[in-house]
Amino acid sequence: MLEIINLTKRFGGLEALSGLNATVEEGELLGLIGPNGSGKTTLFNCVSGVLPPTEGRIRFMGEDVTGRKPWETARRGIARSYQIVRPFANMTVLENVMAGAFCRESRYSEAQKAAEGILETLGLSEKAPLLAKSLNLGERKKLEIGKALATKPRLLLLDEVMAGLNPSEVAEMAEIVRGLNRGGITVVMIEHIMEAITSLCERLIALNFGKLIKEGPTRQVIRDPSVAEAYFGKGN
Amino acid sequence: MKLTDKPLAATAALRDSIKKTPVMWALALLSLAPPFLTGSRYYQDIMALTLLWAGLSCAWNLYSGYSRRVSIGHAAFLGIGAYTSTLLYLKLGVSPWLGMLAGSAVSALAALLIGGLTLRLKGAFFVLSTIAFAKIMEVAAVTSKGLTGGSQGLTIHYDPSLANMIFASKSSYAALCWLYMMLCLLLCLWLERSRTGLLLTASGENQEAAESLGIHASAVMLAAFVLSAALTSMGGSIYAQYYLFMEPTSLMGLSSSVNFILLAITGGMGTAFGPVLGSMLLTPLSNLLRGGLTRVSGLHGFVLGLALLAVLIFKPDGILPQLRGFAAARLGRGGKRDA
Ligand SMILES: Nc1ncnc2c1ncn2[C@@H]1O[C@H](COP(=O)(O)OP(=O)(O)OP(=O)(O)O)[C@@H](O)[C@H]1O
Ligand SMILES: [Mg+2]
Repeated sequence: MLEIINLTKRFGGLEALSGLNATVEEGELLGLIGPNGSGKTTLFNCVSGVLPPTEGRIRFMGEDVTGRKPWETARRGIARSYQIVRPFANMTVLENVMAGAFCRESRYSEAQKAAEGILETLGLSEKAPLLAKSLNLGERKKLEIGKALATKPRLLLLDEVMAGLNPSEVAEMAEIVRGLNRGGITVVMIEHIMEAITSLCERLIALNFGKLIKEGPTRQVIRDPSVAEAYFGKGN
Repeated sequence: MKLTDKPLAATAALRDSIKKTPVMWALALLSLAPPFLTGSRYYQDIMALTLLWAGLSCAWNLYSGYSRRVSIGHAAFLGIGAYTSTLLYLKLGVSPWLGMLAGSAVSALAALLIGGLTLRLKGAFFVLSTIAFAKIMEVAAVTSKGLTGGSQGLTIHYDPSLANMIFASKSSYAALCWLYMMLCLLLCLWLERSRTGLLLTASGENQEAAESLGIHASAVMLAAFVLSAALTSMGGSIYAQYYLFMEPTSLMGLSSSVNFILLAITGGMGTAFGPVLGSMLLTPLSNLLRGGLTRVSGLHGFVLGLALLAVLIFKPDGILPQLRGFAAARLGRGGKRDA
């Protein structure tokens, strides 16, 4: 469904992604791991169109989407959450989700209905009339997903939606992500919390210094010495 | 508040708004009456200006209030409106009613150009570019003496008739200003409950996040900016026909641009009725002070400045949200935003 071909992204002299090749299959729940600064968020930024890649191509559903603007990729069915959540702070929670729903629905009342449905599945219905800035971090992370979901994506890119949550919130978030994937949405999730990754993802891609260092079934990847080395440095 | 799924079609939205803010609706509708109840031209003058500035500030609010991206250059559109209709009237004998539409078209075009260049600028840079735009327009009007009369100004000959948009009675002007205010107000009320308005606010809050949701944020903002400029321009034409005189600096100077903002901020920017309330409080105050505090020149500006500072320090969201919060608390529901 998504093909990343020879993707390179340079920021001045820094190569955040270098010649990356990867594919995402329709319907899978793929984990993207790697130490801080390894280029995970940059990959999401390139795929979603927030940043144009320096070299390489991105194909989505058989179509070349390289360098497309974010609103174009969103309309084609790629949605993302931001690592640092970006709620529309002075709008209500319902309006936040409606902003996403308008991607597919131009009638106000229909968008409102769709948004209410999404808040229901996320357990945020109670918060609908509150301003987004009044939410706590766990709720903000859910809202971030809710906005993305409202665009009715085929591919959902989740950037550390569990970071900073307490264990019960992590478990709840894991259930939400699993539910979305079962509902037919292809998911790629960046995550540092290993328990969440091992319980959710069947396949992982590991990055280091912008290069793919290992990909394959979850167990295999996390036991791989090169992955451990990337995370913890050379064993001594 | 129950989240009903009732269709928010235009009429339903209107009914909804009347139900939610009956006091503000009453205030806006009844504001037509006072100019007809007094015989004093002095008070009629203040009332007409109050209504005109309420409309102008609403027009500003349509873009800057809902997107929270402050334009300090709207006086440029006021000037374009005033000069376009006046020049067409003086040089070609075109009725100011048509001139007003022509001015709107010119302003819309100018907004399209200037917005296309500057709306992508972030925060302070956008604000500065709007100031620069207004300054350029002001200087252009001062220097093109042959056309605009430069800083000597332009005078429109007093020749009252409906076709000339020149009236003998100030109450007729007040009625015209009231119509203008209602037009701007209704557009803002529509925007508040529309897809465009919601997307505009989202785009202004966080452009990148909005774009990731499929919103072409810069196009939404540009559309609102253009509409806001066209509306402001209409007010500019009315302004010219009311004073029958215009001069670049009082029309397009910084203090004129700032007035749009002060009225909206005082009443509550980003709320449809905010600028109306703001103008009803500040325009009369400013005129009465100007009339009363004549001993020391500039004193009325000083007193007004202090009053505004107080609002900004103590009620930075403006007065209307405060009143709403108060009403909500009395009705036993709080912390929510009625759209
Ligand atoms: N817009 C940018 N401009 C310049 N450098 C950037 C930009 N975005 C990312 N980088 C750099 O690119 C590298 C990869 O960053 P990226 O955010 O993709 O890492 P990450 O894998 O998501 O890390 P983390 O786990 O900390 O979120 C880092 O060195 C970062 O400083
Ligand atoms: Mg990251």
